[in-house]
Amino acid sequence: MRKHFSQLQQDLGKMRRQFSQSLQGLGKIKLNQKGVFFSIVSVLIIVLFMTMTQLASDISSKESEIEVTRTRIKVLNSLIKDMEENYFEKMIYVSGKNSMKGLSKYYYDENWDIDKTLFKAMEDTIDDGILIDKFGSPIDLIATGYMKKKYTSNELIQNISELLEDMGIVVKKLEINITTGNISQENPWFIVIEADAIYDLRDKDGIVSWRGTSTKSVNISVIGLYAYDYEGRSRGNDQKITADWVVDEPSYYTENSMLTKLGEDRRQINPAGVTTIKEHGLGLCSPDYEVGLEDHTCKNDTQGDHG
Amino acid sequence: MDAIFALVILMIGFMIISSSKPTETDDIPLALAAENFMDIMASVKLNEICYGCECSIQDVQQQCNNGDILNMDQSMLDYLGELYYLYDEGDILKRQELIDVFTGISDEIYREDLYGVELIIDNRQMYIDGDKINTPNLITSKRVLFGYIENSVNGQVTYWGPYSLEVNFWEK
Repeated sequence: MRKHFSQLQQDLGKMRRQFSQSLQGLGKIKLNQKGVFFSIVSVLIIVLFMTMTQLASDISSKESEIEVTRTRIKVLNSLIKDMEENYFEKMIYVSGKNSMKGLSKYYYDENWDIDKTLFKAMEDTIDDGILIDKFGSPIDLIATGYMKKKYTSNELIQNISELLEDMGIVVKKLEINITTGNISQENPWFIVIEADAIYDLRDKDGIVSWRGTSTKSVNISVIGLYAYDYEGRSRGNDQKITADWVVDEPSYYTENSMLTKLGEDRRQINPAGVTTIKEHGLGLCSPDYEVGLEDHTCKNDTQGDHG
Repeated sequence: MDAIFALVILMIGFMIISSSKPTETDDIPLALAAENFMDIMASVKLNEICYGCECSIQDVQQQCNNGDILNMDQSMLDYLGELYYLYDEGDILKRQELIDVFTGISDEIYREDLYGVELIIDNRQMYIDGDKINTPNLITSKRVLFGYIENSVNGQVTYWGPYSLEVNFWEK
């Protein structure tokens, strides 16, 4: 009986120990769960911060890209603005003067046999130097040395297009067209031509494009063109205009303007049925002009500003 | 113990964030300086800074007095293009004239002790002031140059260009 009782006590003690061990295990499990929770929260927070950082970095990179693009567009805008404000005029001047000089020298060599207006002749030649004669045949003023190829509008446009493409602008269209009928002369030293520069330029990445038409009036100096005196209603002193030519005094008879001499409405038929040249005035006289002829004089103190 | 571990992880996270945050650069004044410089060069004509040959820029005045300026009715940028053309055609003295005009103008527009500048025409370096290699901020401004020289006595027209003109600016 005693033996049984002590055995029971031993078993009970064992059970207590086992129970207390189980309780300790449960505490450990609880503590481990807390650690896992903290770890997961920490990892989540880190992931969140990393994502935010990545996002901020992406935004910043996009902002930089936008800023670079904005700067590029600004640079390209300045280029286009310069073209519009400054360089189209220069292109029109250079190609227009090249055309006028070539035509005047050609007319001089052909004994002033002119069959079309200066506007029409310039329209023919300004881009490629090909003059179409009254029979419809082409006369190449470049091949015959009257005009310089590199100063034609086609060549100027080609050069500028290549440069613009190097700078990131794709030239879809760039043309110079003389505005129909808009050639005039209001000053003996200058012929005014009006021309349209038509352009369609695009950024190489296709982000932005510039399209438009810019109309420019350009005063082209007549110095360097070939001309003649028309004293006594007969042609004489054919030569190149230089700075020492003088403005004819507007009186009974006035020397024809260069625009008239180069073909603009220059022919008229008088009552006797004879074709003559209109007397428009605004002309220049060569230094060989006989100053002080009856009815007309060529004053040499009225030389305009032609520099 | 775990809380301390988590705190350490958080601190590392903050450190990563602070180290990976892109450094912002304040290049607005530089960009404005570059833009203003080019705008002035492109828009102001020689006859606007000169009365006869009395010019507000000494080097331009000297060249005007020497009779080197063929056309006063052109922008300062165009004049640089013209000088470059003459240099390119073989007049080696024109390079120094070009540099003198450029530095003469630039000295009037920005402080050379603050900004470095480089001038490139037609892909050839014409002038550099300072070291641009190590600069974090470099502002580039570009223009196209072309023009013509007309002899007022015989009407001979000489076309020059087109050239690309590039000016690089940076903070010293």
